[in-house]
Amino acid sequence: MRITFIICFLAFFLGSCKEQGCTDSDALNFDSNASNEDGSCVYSQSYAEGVFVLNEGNFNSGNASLSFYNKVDKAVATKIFSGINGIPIGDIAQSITTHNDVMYLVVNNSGKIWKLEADNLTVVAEITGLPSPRYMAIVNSVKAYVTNFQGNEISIVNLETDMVSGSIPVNGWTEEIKCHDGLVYFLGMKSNTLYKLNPNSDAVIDSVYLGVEPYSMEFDPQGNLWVLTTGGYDEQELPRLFRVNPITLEIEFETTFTSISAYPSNLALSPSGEHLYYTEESGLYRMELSATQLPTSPIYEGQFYGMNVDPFSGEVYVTDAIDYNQKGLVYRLSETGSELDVFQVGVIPKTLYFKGL
Amino acid sequence: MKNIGLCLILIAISAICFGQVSDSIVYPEVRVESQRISEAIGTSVSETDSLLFAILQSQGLTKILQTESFISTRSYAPGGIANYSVRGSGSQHTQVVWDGIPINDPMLGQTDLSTVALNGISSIRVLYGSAGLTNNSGGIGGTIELQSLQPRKKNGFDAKLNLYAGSFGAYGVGVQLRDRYKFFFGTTTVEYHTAKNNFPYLNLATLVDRERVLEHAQVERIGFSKSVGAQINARNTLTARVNYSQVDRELSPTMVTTTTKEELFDRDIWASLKWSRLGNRSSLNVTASYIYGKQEYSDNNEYTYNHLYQASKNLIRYKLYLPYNLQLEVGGDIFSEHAKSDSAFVNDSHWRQWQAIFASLKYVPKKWVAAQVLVREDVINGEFSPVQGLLGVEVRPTNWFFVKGNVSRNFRAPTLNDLYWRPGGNEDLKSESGFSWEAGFGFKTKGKKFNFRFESTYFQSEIDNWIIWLPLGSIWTPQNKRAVSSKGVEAQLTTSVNVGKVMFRLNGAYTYVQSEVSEGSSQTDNSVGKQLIYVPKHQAKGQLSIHLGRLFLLYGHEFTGLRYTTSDNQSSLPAYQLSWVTIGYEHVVKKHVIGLNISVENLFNKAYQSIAWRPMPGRSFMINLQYQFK
Repeated sequence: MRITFIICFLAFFLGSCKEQGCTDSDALNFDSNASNEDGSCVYSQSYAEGVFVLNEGNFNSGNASLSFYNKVDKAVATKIFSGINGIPIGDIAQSITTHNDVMYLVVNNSGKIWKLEADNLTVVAEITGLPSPRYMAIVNSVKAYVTNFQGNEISIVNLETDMVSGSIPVNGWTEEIKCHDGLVYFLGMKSNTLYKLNPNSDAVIDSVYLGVEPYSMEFDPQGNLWVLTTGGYDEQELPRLFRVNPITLEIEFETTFTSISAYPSNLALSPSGEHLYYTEESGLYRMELSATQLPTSPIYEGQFYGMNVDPFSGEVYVTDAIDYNQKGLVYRLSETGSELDVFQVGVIPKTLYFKGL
Repeated sequence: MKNIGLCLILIAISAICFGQVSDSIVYPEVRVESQRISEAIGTSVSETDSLLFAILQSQGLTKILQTESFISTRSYAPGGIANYSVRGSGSQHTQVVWDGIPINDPMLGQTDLSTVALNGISSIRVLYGSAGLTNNSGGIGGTIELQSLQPRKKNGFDAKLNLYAGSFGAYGVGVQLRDRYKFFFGTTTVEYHTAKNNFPYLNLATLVDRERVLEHAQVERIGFSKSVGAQINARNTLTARVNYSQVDRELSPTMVTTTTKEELFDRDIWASLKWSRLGNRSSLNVTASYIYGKQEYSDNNEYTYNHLYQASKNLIRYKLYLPYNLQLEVGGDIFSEHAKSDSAFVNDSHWRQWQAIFASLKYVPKKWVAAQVLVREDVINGEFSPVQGLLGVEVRPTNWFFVKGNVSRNFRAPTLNDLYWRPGGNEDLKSESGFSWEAGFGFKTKGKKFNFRFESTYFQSEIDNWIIWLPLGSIWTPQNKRAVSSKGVEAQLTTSVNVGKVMFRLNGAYTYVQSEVSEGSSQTDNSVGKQLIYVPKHQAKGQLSIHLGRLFLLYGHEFTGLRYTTSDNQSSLPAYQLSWVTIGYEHVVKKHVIGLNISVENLFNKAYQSIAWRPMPGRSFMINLQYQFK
């Protein structure tokens, strides 16, 4: 009786020891040893046209992932980075930057940047030694700047050696960074300031105080710089939207949100440059660039973590992280907010990057 | 003899100790039960075997519970922060009590098992489900009971020294002293433990330098306990106890993160003064206690955050033996908790006043059937919590077979972090509450050469208002947005056979837990119907030992099933099995006992992860030398 009992237990346990992986024999990364499908199947080698979704993953959990959405057949490939390279992206995948035929994935809590071949997503190099990288701005084929959450520095990366070559001291957490007309602009989240950097001298040459937590920025077709402040994650002041002259750093336009808990973020421009999009607590908002007042109601309701506008079609994509511990959703919307498609990606989808021909 | 005496004096002066006083190192002892929670009838309780306690003590409470009980534990590194799950619940749903006094951190709502200094502890029990409701609320999953080192029963003095050293820079030393002179008694324990945890591992998350050694994972623990007491007369006893522990830990990086400078320092003090009075047909226990906990977390910028909590916890328990085999027990608690944090509460202080009363009536004849009904009410900051209750029954139609079961209602109050975290704390949170029931059966036989006990229990619980932290705008805030349903089976087998001079012992435990979200946080929430994260559905553990005189060989095996790491169950950690072996011998010369154990952990050098991307050690060795003066 006892022996039967033990045998049953053993059989039960052995039956539960299933390996995770891609179980679809049609997929490129089919794993014949796997018996539990984990959504990592890769079906297409072409990433020439579509939407990359970078999923942050949970802090200290190492479950960041990269998904790819084919806009034509609406197919989604998840975990494509690990499926192709056999290693995880890391912890808190923060942003995507491309340059020529290279794609860079900035991984915040892993302190590294993956350099990939943009065509097939194969890892070329692993750039390590960054304090806690957030965003990357590529000045030329040799030099890039990387902002950091911790470490009080802007890191300088040599793109030929794929190594950190230096740093520029700054005050606290720095967030988005962009190149424009030979100069570099970045946001100081804790100093509440927009900075201008000369890449020839690696020196900050100008700055302007904006408001609590400048978090998101975009250049419009006229060369003006638009910046959103959140007002603080702990609701210190009303959030604001600024238009700044990038040459003089003069604030040419400023408007204030009415709700201290709005937490606006994810600033993006339509391809025509006529509309500005952002998300706040109640949904997705769209305003005309020439408007002097903020819109009063969202064009699409919901709580969204990431958002971006497809520069090829003008369609808007917003992400829903649900409980921040499961696969999130991406909503594909028309430019006026009509729902076109919904698809599932990885855990905490944040960054959307559009690739087109 | 003179030298031994000198050694003992030196040991006492240096006050560095480890170990457990018992009559024998090899064989389980009979324990004193006076300090124990009187568990509810119809419920399940497991107690750590004293042999395993002695062998595994150097590896800490997490390892002991993982090896023997139905608890599932997971730690960030050996000796690192440890979480646990009982019957599919979370760490916050398990009360940890020291001599009946709840010691969970009111800010976090849980106890870090790795901070408990075990040298001042004589036994560990796990009371499953509502078994601990006779003593405390909040243990929806169960209650972990730590019983302090008990005093000698007879006049005299005994002592124990424990020294150990092992792989990866682990070593420790400890002393236990107990004495009694007529009506006065006392115990003293001191311990020191450290481990570098610099074990090699394969980093699966990088392309270069995959063979690495874990860095920044050192642990250092110091523990001290002292009790003094007086038996005032035949009826009255007064006992004062204090238990101190401090743990200094480096927080190691994961495979996917960069090097870290993070460190965590914990200091815990538990102190109590207890008056016990025995009547002809009654007993009264009055306990006043002071609980102190301090945490200093140093981040990568070497900035230190401080959390501090203090509590006075006063308990009264009165038991009256009535005619017709009835036992009436009534009790009350008056707790006052205070917490201060420079980060969580932005330097604010918060207080919580907590009162509770309960009444229980047990019917306990010597044979056939026992039953219990219990009602408990807690009042927190003037607000009445959900009424709790239990109805339990146990039937023994023969002396070798029994069936038992209970239905109960329990609750868990929000933590102080849930209520007051800035920003995001939600003072409107409701307590999690729900109903649970269980039913089980068992057999047991006891003979000169053959002992056998088997017990199995089915349990089920439905918990509403489950608290989950979600963002509202930019601010993460706790909300009562989920419901969780748990059910499962526990089975335990204990047997021993004597063949000539050789004794064979086999302990085995298996648990199946299905703990699922039954109500989601939103319409798109895919966690509904899915297993809670890091709760394995299957878990089994067993130990086989062979004893010949005072020589023993013990083989332990542990199976932990697949654990999901995301709430939609789309990602998981694979199951793993671990084995360990210990060989030990003790030599007795009159009142002196010398014992030597050698253990090999992770015998087959398996690579596994308890928490995703956290490397765990491969094969390791430990040698343990014990000296006992009885």
